[in-house]
Amino acid sequence: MDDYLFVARSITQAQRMSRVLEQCGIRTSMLRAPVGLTDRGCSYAVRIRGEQFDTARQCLRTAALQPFHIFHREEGVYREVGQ
Amino acid sequence: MIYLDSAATTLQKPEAVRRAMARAAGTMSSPGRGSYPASHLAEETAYRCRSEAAELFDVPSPEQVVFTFNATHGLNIAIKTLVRPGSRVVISGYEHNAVTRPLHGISNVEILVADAPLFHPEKTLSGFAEALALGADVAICSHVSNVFGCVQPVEQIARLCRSHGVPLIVDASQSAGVLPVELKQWDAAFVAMPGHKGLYGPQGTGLLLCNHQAISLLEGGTGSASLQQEMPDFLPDQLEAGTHNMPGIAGLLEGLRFVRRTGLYTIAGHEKNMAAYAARRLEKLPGVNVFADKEFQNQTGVLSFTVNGRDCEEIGEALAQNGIAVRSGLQCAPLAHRTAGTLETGTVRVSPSAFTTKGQVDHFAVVLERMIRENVGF
Repeated sequence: MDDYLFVARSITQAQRMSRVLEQCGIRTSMLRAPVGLTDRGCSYAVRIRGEQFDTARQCLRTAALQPFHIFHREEGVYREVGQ
Repeated sequence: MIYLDSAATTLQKPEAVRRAMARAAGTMSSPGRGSYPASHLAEETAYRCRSEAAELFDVPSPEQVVFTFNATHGLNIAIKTLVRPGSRVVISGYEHNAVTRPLHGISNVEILVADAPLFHPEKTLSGFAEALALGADVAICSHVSNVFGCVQPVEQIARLCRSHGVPLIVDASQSAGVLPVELKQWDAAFVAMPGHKGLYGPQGTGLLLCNHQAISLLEGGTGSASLQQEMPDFLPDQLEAGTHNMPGIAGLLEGLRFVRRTGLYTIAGHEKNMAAYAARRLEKLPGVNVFADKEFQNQTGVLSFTVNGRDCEEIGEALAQNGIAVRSGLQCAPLAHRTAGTLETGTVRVSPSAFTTKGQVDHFAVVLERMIRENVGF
């Protein structure tokens, strides 16, 4: 099972992304982004299930919301993916 | 006590405000600082408050709603962002010290005052038009005078500013909660407002609606981008250093909900009716000068008056001794008094809230009448 993390620039942006995704029918959970994933220190992220990634990305684009980073996690390993 | 000083602070709050504050004090920590429920609850409350404000004030995104300590704090951020030493700034003749003092504190600022007689919005507008035509860097306008309740034609002023490419700062201290305040529609750079007046939140809360890059007055922790030593360059974090006032924000959220549920026009109509009724009563009293627009057309529920031969502070004292709370003096707005011609005397200001009753206004008028006719209490 894999999932994606949309790393936000702020808690408020993460909350906004979460709500927009929920409105698109995508279940989300919010979390503090793992320290190793960011080069700027404390960040928040929105987690979604892997199979919903394409829909989620389109949904965020429609809402003009751009994550700071996007990571794909598979078998416990994170890999950054393009916007 | 009969409280008629809501233009300073609405004292009677919806019960939900008090409950929310008490709940927050016991259940919320700081938003954006942890993965545990107390932090999540604070995050959710802060976000809901931003969202509620964004919907009420036509703000495109909750991120553009910044928590401040009060309107003065927001105005300081806005002014110190846009006004530079040597800038030329156009202001209305009814600005509060929250605008004029920060301007005074910046060196060599040239201030053009678009003054106009009371309750003549068309003259205010032409004053702004003339001043903007001279070339200005920034325009600042209070939506409603805190002394006289006169409504300034902000929508038209905003249009003028857009046509001249001049950023506009609006002080919505007296209009938020009673008149439409529309950041996007006006395309204002900033709109500042307190939480503790017409939004029925607690003291120590305020909102700055941002449509422009801003500079931070405070630097410190934000729970974001912690590795970098510069403040984050994104809102709201950029302007919200340090721990949030969560009891205040929780209370403000309930205040905003009260305003939206009750309706701006319902609240404004009630306050205006109360002030107009007070004006009618006061106008009948000997020696009383009431500053009211014809049928309260360009006026909110804020009313000033003077009594011939009486010091306004003495009137305020005497009313207080009779259990009536009003605001006397210059109301921190000497410019407004200078414009209206009351700088030497000051005024007594009466400002009802959504909770003021006609019976309370009656009682106030009866007490004042007795004081004047019998010359008691002075």
